[in-house]
Amino acid sequence: MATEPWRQARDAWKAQQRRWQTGGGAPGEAGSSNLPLWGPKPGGARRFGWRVWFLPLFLWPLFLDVPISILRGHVFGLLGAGLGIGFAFLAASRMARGLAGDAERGSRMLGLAAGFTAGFGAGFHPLMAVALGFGAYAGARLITDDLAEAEPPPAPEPAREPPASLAGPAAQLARIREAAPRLAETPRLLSAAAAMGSVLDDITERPERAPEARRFLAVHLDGLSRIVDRLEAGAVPPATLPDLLDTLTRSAERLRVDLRQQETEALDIQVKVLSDRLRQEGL
Amino acid sequence: MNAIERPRRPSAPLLPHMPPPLRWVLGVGLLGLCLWLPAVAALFR
Repeated sequence: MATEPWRQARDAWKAQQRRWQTGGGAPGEAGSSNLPLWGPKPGGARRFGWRVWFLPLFLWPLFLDVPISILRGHVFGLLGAGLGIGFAFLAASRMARGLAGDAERGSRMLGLAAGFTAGFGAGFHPLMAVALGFGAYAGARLITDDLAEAEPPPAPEPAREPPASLAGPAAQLARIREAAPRLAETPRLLSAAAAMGSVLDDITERPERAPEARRFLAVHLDGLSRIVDRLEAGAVPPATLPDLLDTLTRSAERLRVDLRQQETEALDIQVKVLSDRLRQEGL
Repeated sequence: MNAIERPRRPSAPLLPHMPPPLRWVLGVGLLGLCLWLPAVAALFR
């Protein structure tokens, strides 16, 4: 029967497994079917798992060596085995922590474990012990390097706010748009405000263009704002107002075209430089 | 007690152009030679 509790629990468990496999599970859980076999995994979770904790298992003979050394009274054998096991598990726990640089430090500790094991435990020549320590360090690095590369994803970029210097013009523009429907020459006011808004959007997206548009912001937008103020105060619009508004609209559009033209020229130069470089390299 | 973590410079990977499975095999081989072998030698000393 489908309503039996154990069946419901089983179905829920299978659904959870499917979510994990399709990458929709809890953060840090390993999806399996659609993830790359190696390399950084999406989601920022590091897979410091079996690959880290199997490293100390290379030293399994030392677990037998400890009681044997105790029974035989080999102090150096016991010292080597103890230091080897201790440093190996310290290394694994350090790597399992998974912070930046932990794989490197854990590998160094594993190198120390190998050196102590070879020097004290096995009684190798000190130079040989050092060489084996470097070998174990390199081996651990090779195994864990790509784990260390899996950095957490960068924090999502916060929504871009207009810079402080653009907050005033943006407020002016909002006020013009809000007041225009109640005034004379509404369509022209709105089209001028729209054209200026486009310029302001461009500057917000690319703040490095702001100096070039400073005159526009200081004169045109400010002037339009003052005109709206007077119209709101009940002034009768002069006959030249429609022409002036059309001119403001055209100038805003032309400024926008000019700004884009500069970008196009910069791109042209970049393309030319790169093409020349490639040609010089014979490509 | 709050441990103050020193910012760490990420270390460059060893043999970056080697494909990962080969790196793992080489790493396991090195660990076998440099970690397991001395441990066995210590056992039979």
